[in-house]
Amino acid sequence: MRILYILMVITGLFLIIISFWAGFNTKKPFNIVGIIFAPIGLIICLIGVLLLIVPKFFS
Amino acid sequence: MIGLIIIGLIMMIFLKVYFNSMWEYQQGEGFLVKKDYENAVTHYERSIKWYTPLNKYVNKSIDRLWEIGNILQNENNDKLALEAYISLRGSLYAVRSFYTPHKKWIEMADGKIADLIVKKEPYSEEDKKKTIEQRRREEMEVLKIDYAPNPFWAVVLEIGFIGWIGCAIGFIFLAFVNKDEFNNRKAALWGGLIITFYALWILGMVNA
Repeated sequence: MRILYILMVITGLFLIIISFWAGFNTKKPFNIVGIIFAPIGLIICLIGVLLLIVPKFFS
Repeated sequence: MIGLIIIGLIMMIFLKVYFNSMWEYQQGEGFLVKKDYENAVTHYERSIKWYTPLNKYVNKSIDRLWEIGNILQNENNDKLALEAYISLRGSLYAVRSFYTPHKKWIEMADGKIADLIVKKEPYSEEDKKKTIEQRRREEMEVLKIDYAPNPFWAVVLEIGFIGWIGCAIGFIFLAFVNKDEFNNRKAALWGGLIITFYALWILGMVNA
């Protein structure tokens, strides 16, 4: 499960980076669609960090 | 100048807490004269909860709660006596920070609470088979469990919490240069710090 949580952190960070890139470097409507993934990525990343430290948090 | 303002603010808080403790103590005294022990216990307990170091009203309230407990025990009012001792113990635990004030009183109250609890009829069949000494020992073991947080991890928790919020503010103000410009380097720095402090915050909460 630890690998899954590390993957969540990496995926979250990747989504944040990609979304910021899309938000500033693409034209409408792709920039809006892209930036929507920033909070999603942030949530995935933070939950990943949380579960890495407290694996039984949700159980 | 800023130092004076900070000292002034601390003094104001200190005086507010000190005078509230005094006022609650005086309320307790009023009820004690009328032999209204229940209300007296409530006000003495509040007086202790307005704890400041070297506050004589906290010391006096502790004495009074102990005294009321003894009076009620002599009058065979065990229920209210137990309440007085629990108030004494609970209020002292409520005001602890990185140190626990008046530990001696907590230990004394623990003994009294255990004595009064074992005087009650045990509920379970298992408890009914035990001797009074055995039940008292078990009660004392429960009362002695220390739930104090670890000061080191509590500090880590605070640093983590303030850190991730501060870094989020730093990210907002420094990564977004203007409406159409985004500073990648600063975003990576502040974003990384948010994740690091967030992890510290969680670690602190788990271990504190």
